[in-house]
Amino acid sequence: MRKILIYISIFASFLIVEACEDFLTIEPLDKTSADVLFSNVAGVKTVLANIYQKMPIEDFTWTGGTGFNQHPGGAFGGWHKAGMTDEAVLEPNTGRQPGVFPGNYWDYEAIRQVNQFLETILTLKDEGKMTEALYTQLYGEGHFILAYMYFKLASRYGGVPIIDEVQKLSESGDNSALFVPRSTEKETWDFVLSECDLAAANLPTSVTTSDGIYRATKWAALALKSRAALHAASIAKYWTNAALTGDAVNAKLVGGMTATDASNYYLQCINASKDIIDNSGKTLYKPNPASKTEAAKNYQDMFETPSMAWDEVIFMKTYIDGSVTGQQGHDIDFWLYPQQCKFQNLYMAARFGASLNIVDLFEDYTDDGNGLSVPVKTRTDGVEDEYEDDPKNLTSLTQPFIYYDNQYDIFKDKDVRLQASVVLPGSTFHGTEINMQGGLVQMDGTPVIYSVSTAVGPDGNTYYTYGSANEAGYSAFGLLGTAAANYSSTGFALRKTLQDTKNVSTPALGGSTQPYIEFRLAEVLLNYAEAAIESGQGDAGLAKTYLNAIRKRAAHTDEIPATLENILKERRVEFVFEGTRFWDLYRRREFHTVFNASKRYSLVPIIDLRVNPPKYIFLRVTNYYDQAAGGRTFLTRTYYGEIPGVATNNLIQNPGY
Amino acid sequence: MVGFSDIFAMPDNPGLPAASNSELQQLINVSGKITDATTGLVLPGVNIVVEGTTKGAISDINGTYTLDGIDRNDSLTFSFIGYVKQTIQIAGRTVIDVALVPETTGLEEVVVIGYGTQRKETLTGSVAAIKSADIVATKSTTVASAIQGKVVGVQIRQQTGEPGVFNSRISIRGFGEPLLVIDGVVRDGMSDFERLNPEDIENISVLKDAAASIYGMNAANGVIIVTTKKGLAGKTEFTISNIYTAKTPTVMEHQSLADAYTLKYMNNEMSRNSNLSLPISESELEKWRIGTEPGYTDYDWFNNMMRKWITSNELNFSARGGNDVITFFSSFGFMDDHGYFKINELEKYKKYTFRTNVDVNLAKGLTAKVSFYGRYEDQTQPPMGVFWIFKRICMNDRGYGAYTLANNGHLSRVPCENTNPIAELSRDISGYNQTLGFQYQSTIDVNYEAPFLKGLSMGVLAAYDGMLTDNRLLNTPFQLYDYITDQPVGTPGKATFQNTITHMIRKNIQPKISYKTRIGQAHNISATLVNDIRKVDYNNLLGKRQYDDLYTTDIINQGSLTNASTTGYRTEQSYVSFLGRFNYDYKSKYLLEFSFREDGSYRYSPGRRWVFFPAVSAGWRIGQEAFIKNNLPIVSDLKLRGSWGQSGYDAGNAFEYVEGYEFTSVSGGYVFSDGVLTLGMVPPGVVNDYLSWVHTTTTDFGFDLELWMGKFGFTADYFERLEEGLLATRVATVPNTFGASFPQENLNSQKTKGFELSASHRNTIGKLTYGVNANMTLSRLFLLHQEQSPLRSTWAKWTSGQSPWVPSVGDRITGRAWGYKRDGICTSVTQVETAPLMGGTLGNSLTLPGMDIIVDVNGDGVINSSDQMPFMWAGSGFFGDALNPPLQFGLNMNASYMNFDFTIGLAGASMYTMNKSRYDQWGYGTRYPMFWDKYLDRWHTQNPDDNPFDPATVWIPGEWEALTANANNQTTNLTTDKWRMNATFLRAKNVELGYTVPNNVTRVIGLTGVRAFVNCFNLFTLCNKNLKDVDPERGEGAYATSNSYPLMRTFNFGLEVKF
Repeated sequence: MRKILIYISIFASFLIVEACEDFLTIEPLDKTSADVLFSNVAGVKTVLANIYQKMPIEDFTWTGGTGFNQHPGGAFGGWHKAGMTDEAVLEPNTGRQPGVFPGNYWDYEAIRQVNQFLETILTLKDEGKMTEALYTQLYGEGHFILAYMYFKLASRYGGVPIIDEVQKLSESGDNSALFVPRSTEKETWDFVLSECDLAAANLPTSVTTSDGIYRATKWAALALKSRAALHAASIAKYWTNAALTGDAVNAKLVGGMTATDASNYYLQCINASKDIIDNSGKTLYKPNPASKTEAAKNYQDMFETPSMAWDEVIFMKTYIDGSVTGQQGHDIDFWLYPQQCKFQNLYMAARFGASLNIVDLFEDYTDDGNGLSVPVKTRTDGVEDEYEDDPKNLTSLTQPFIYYDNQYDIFKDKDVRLQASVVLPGSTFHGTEINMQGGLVQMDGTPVIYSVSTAVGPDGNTYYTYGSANEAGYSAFGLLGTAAANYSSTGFALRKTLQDTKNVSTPALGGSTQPYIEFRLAEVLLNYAEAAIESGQGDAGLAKTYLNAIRKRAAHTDEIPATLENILKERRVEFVFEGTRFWDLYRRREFHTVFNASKRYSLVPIIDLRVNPPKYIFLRVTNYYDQAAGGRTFLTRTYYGEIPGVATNNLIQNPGY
Repeated sequence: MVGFSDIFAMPDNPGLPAASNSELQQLINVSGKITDATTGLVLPGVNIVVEGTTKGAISDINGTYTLDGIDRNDSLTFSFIGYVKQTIQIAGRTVIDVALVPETTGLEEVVVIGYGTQRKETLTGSVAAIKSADIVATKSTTVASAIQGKVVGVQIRQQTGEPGVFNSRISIRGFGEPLLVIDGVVRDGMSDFERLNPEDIENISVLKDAAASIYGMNAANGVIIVTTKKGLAGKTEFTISNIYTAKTPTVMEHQSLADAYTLKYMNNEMSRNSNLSLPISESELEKWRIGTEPGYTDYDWFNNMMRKWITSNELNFSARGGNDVITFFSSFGFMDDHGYFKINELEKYKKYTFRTNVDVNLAKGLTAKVSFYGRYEDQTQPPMGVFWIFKRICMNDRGYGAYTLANNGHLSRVPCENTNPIAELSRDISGYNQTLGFQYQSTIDVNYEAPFLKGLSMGVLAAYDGMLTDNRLLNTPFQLYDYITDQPVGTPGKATFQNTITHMIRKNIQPKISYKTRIGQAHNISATLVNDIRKVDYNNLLGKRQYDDLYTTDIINQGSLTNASTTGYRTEQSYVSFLGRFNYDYKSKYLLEFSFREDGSYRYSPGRRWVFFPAVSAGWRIGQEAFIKNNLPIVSDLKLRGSWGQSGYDAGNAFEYVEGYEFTSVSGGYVFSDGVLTLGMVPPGVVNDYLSWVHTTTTDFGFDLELWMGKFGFTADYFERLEEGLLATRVATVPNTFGASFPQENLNSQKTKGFELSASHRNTIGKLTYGVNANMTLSRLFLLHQEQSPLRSTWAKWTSGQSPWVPSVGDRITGRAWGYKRDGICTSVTQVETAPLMGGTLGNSLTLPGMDIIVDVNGDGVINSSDQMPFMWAGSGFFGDALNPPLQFGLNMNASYMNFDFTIGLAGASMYTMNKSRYDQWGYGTRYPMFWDKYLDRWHTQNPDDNPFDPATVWIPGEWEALTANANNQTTNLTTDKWRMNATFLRAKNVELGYTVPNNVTRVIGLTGVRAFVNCFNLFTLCNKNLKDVDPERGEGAYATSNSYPLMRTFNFGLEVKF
């Protein structure tokens, strides 16, 4: 007995000695190896999810100030890039204003992770642990994401360090090799375009529901190429409109591209666009509406429920409900519903007012064959370029106003995309008739604008400045300049992308899930048209066809010529509030000319008690916030952002910083 | 070092039964002579006691004694300090001569060391031991306070008197938190040590130098080894002790917070002093002064909310006994503690402990020890945390009552914290935070003494421990009302319930073999080899739900799924060690020890996993040499010791070497298919293959000296500890395009140096036996290498480029605070005009008489940060380091006379400061509207209405400067030694008086021992008078220092019964 015990303990001792290295080698429970992850589809998706999520898509969860993927509330519904242009005003006066850089993006950590992804799949393929087919698709996706990231870098900073491998720390401690200098702007754009080519050559032409339809296809890569090439071409062509000087310019880290480069980039845009148009099978969503009403509905549907519009959509990002799963969803409905429809008792609404500038830009259907914009008609004398700076102090209104029976009639002949994109005064949103009234003219002719007041009308009824006795009854011009201003300051609110017709009783923080469309065919068509007309390459006839196809979808029956002006105006109208305007102003170097000392305008519906029965007149005014700011300016240096961390990364700083 | 066990041990009573047959009783006279067994010299002063009686005698100058009229069947006990006690049956003899054998006093003690025991005389390391009797000599509910100040080199500092909070800072020689070993197994940390039942402990050994190296891993800060009580063969002895405790805070200045009127008066004065308009009109002020009109009454938040006295109760029951085959010790402890708040629903602590140790002789040479320990704790705290509530009670505006003026059912919302502590302390209103802790430790230790080779033994120790904590946090929002208008203020949110469960399991197995022999007569050799394998698993689960509508019950599934969340983690740890120790001594005079340990940790990459920690130590018992013995007979022992050893700890994140993908948060997911979120897996950052152990090297030189057979003892040690490979992130310039951050590496190094001294004296004079022990430890930290950006100027080098709170780098000493020197005070406004400028753009325009004049060190006429000097000791608290003060000392005295015993233990510390951050002192920084009465002794104008800036105004001087609303422009805002005060203190940590009922009395009622005692912890404190209100031992707390939960002055009344 004793001896047995001894032997057992000695033997056990030795056994343990042998096994101790194994004993110490334990697998961490919170880490998973690449082998395991990539061995099945679900694992691959988790890795992809990380890098897709890191794509700097300027969607509903983005804001220039706080960055990408803000959940919940952090992005206030995206702080629409529109609010950083002449398209809209972000309210109250805390929004991101025009004339500022769109916010840093310097996520080399994400780029490192994409490079790690590409290296890992290569290793697994070489080791025979991954099929060629899967490898090809993942390879394409990795390069698509890399291209997208560098596109965002190039459009913000010009030339940047191009790092397309996983950098390793040196064992010797000499890390000088890690310091990659900036490439020239041209090299950077070329890199973006070549990455798009790599992606397009390897990505599938379609993805299945089981793969997940919100993944990149060949057409997404080409759409990105179309956009990036047009961007690069525009800079090459228009750099001189706002030329900068300094070390970065001398080294061609910004600018430095030639007319030949421009021509080349336009051609790449043309070719990529044409490939999509001809081969992707994508069409415009419901290209031949039977009526204006139908056209309006189709156009609104496309943004309210993008999943219906896969015909046209090439790539989009979607969401799950953040009010159920925290840190998800987006808030666009929560923040941007008109005051009359807001989520009662919580926070604010109507943080977005579409400007009169953009409203005026829409055509009506009367201008056969020329496509001219028609400002809304407020006066009988046809003068539509006078604006009151400070309507609150007006003592009389003597202009020859047109009298309207209601708030809506003034817009009724406009391009249907206006009513589908903007909540117009007197229109119905979410079952509620939206009242945007901002003033009244008393029977004695004294106007009261922008302040709570009542007056008795000639019919003996009591009239209110804001058209309603209580705050829940109106949506514009209340409490201007205060943080509590849950009202539009322009007289217009946002409709595009909002859940209007759906039965949403209470938009919650993070509770919106409508997808964000990143690429759709309409853009590709207009990219082609612009590149063809700008460069004289491609087919000008096709440019005209594409331009008018888009107008036709909006119930226009005439054809207009494919002039540059028409194409650019069509971009502003078709893509209003989609963020396109912001980057168009950037790439075409128009921000400083459009915005220097510029103002955005509002349209104030006013009930005039001098007539019986009282009718509406419409006053053109300078937007309250631009009036307060004395107009907006844009510094030309802002076309390139300040390179972060030059003190340690030794990069040459951009001009003006 | 030197135990007082002999002094305080209860008389051991193998005793004879009282003679039952009175016929046998014959009274006789006994006399005799007492000599030293080795020298033959007579011994005067020997104590002779007739067993079981109070009758006794003392030998005279010739060593003779006489006892008259004692029973012939009685026994006599002969005891003398430094000699082995003898008990002799009289058996009818009338002359009994006795030769007492000298004991080399404490040196014969066996001391528990790492993986074994050793005779104290042959120790070569610096090991302190404290025995049961000394631990429980001062009865306390926590072990930490029971041994505070008693063990040289062990620094203990209590931080709070909060029930159920065990966060005393325990450090050996200032190294940091030591390793805790209970019954041979590495258990949990110091908070666990504090929770032990003091009654269970047989002895505690503290390994302070290279002796700790045998524990290698994580023993770099030293080791505390606790051995619990074992059974004793013989009649089963039962002990019951009950301690009733009454506590009161050591600091009570809170009671002297200014009332509402005084505060408002001072607010006006402060505004006047700062050129501001008066916040309150004279007529309003008058209403406050009268203080009867509703809305103008004073509400003493502190005294309405806080108790003066708190009581708690502790009960211990133990049984100890056994026979030749099996012995056991079994105990049960119960403790019930309460908090300091009058609403006593949410500050409670209960602890139950249970321990059974059984020793079994399985067969000849084969023994097994089986022990089991269980603990159950139940702690309730307010969901908000005691700290914040205490702060509120101190700062609440006394112009606000607890309930609104109109409705005494409506709790008011009280500035400045804008809540109401009554709500936060009421379980029904605000919820609760309850933590249940279940801990068990089981150990089996089998040893086999080989019969075929004497001295060879083998064995296996196995331990299985577990701990389960169950935290329940219920937050129920509540409605408060405006004090004046009675209108509801704010909207309460939704109730939430959160349940967190953590389970820890630790397994340990230690096969071991040892051999011990003597070659010839002089060479003693022993060797021990152990293989120590440990595995620790943690599993954690947290669930949280909210109650959308109505709070129902505190069960997780009663909440709604909206915003429900769950999280959790699981970790596994594995450790393997091989260790050995070889001892050699020659005639117990020349001592040599070598030990090694090869440690492996799961944490690092295979190439960096293992580390080898050697240690050597040597001792020379020079006192045993003839040239000392013959020439210096007063020296009974003298030993020189030296040791050098290495150990370390496995720092840093585990698995940094593993290239693996990790899940990110939910926000890192992406939606590939409608309605389906795919969580993202993030690829590895920079893989760190190089992370490894932190190495420490400890060196110690010391000596132990005993004079006059142990009447006096001295011990001194010099020590150094070098730590290399402390973690830091390399200050390397990688560009921000690298895309990953640098991992931590083993870069920094630091050294701790110091010495410790201990002196003791013990003696018996007549029936008085007493002992004194004084000890001190000085320990300083030096930073050798700190990874940081290069310093670019001489000024930056001088200040180390750091704020004053951060220790200096280089070979300079640490623990200095930077501040401004004072040069008297301004006595008049005109004097201010010529003083150096300190108010920034305002110059000295707001400086007033009574304010400090700051020394313009660089003479540029302006006082700014360049005029700071490191002339003060740094603090040790909220802002500063978490270490103990560098200098700590203790003084322990004990005495017994007849059946009374008395103990006093003083403990203190020095070389640090406490900052009464004036930013938080209202009137000098204006942060919180609370004003202590003591600041009434301030500089102020003779007439309150006078313009303070008029040179003609007459000022009344005071101890404190004039109140000011904007301290930014005043000298008052600077750190000076007026506000950062020297915190040296000496505290009567414990005082105890006990009475043991004489045996002959207890025997009559069938008991074997009864002792009653009363003791007091923190009875009084000597320190800077301005620190008495904040308690220098506790250290700086956040917010005005005084707003942290106080330590307690504890009075214990106890009774211990053995039978």
